[in-house]
Amino acid sequence: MVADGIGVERVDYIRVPVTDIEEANRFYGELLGLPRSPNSPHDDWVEYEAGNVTLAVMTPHTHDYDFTALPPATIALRVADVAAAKATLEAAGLEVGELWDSGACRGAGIEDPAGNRILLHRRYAPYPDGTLP
Amino acid sequence: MQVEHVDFVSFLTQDLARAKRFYTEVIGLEVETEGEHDLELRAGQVTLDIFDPSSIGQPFAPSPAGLALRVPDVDATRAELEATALAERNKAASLAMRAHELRTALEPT
Repeated sequence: MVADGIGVERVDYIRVPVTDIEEANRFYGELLGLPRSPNSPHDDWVEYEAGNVTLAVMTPHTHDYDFTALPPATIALRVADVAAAKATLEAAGLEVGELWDSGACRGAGIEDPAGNRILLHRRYAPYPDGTLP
Repeated sequence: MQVEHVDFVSFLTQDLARAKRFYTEVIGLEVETEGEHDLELRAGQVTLDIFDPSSIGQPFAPSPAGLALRVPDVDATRAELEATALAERNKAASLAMRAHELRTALEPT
């Protein structure tokens, strides 16, 4: 085994496969309001900044493989208030799943136009060290 | 609505113990929290959650979400991982050979 791993520094991006890049741009850029990376010049690979992680929204069919949607809750997006975010998105016409409360976090699921199920998420319980997200 | 942050990125597994060995021993990520059916690891600036979906009756599916891990030198890392895989294969072959020798030695003549 590699004694100390491979020295991972950070996650550079996570790939989000979609079928229609224009629909995806409206969803991630306009509806969710994520800023597009200025260093993302391609039409079939568009990078959006989600705070600490870059979402690389891309079309598999132009990268020589078949589209498959992400499994549920692959990506959990932190919002200040899940209920308020749900109301905002529903007012914009998006279907949002039931609000759930685990006792430490609240969440609600949404789907992008390609069927990727994204989680709106907020932890409200302090971590064991007393800090909050 | 403003997205503040990615709280976690989740990948599914069918074998949590094997996934833990891979992500901690080979990749070298640190465990943040560990449950019966999931494992949270620190991948730089984000939490990587590894979850066994059979625990909630959901099917396993490999994720098409390519997670890009930044390493100092991709070529060196690739060589290191290939050497690790080769060492593991050699170790497995050696164990199989020893098991075969043991069976042969114990067989009645």
